[in-house]
Amino acid sequence: MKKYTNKILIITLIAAAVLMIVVSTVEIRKAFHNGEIKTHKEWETIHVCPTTPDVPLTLDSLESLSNIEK
Amino acid sequence: MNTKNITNLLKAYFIESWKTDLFQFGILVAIILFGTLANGASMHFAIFCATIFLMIYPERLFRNLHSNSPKIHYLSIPASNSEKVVANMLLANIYYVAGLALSCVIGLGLAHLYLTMRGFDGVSLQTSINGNGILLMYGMLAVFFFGSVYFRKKTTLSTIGVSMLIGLIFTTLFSLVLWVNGIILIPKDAVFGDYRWSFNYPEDISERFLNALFYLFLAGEIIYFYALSFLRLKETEA
Repeated sequence: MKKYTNKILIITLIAAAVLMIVVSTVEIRKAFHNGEIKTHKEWETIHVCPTTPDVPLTLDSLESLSNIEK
Repeated sequence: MNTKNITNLLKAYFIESWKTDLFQFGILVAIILFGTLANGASMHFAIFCATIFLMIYPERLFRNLHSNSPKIHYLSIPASNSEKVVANMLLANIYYVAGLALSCVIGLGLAHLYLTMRGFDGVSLQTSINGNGILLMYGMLAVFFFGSVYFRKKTTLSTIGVSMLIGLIFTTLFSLVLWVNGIILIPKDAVFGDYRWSFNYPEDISERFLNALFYLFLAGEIIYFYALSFLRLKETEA
């Protein structure tokens, strides 16, 4: 009897690897063209600092903030 | 395939190894109990221990295949390969899983009794296991089942090692894809670290669809590995 198991395993692995490479490449390109891959600047304006504070962050300003809370 | 042969195989298994199985279930109960004494009983701990037991079990199922003279003995048992695979599948997927579940229940029950008698809170039955988790466990069992037929010695360790190696290769490949696409897509005058990879989860795909995809994939994987085990056993015989 011919030995098929190793061949089937290797073919499956190669097929899975090729599928993974193709799908991930397509998805990455789609994301890039849709603007989902952002520069750090864009990212920061969206996620980190939605609005820039008017008051500069110093010790004095912090103190006045805590006074307001009191 | 003859059901009588399968019944005989199962009978032979129980005559040969009911003591070992009982001993193993006893050990699991003891581990859960002592785990309770050490750091409080939990469902997670019991499930974790049971999963490890389940990983090691297929090596025992096919232990006759792993040394030379019993191998001939095993292969000359008057039953076809498909019957042997089906009998062992029944043992691993139904009998042993049920035994482990029962041991978990007994262990946690005893732990609960002990804790409540000492005046502590009982065992928390909160668990994160659900249908997906159980299916994942069966998928893992299929991989170890195949590993125990495929490798000649130390099958559990070999299966874990090879799976990790394949995982490493795939992770490396994925990183390579990201790197190559980064070089192609990102403009040349961009400063290093200018771009940030972030993929938004596609909102138009429903969770049910993803779950169905997951179930289909796992079902395919389970059938694939049992079919390969059957093929490998046939090749060993030839």
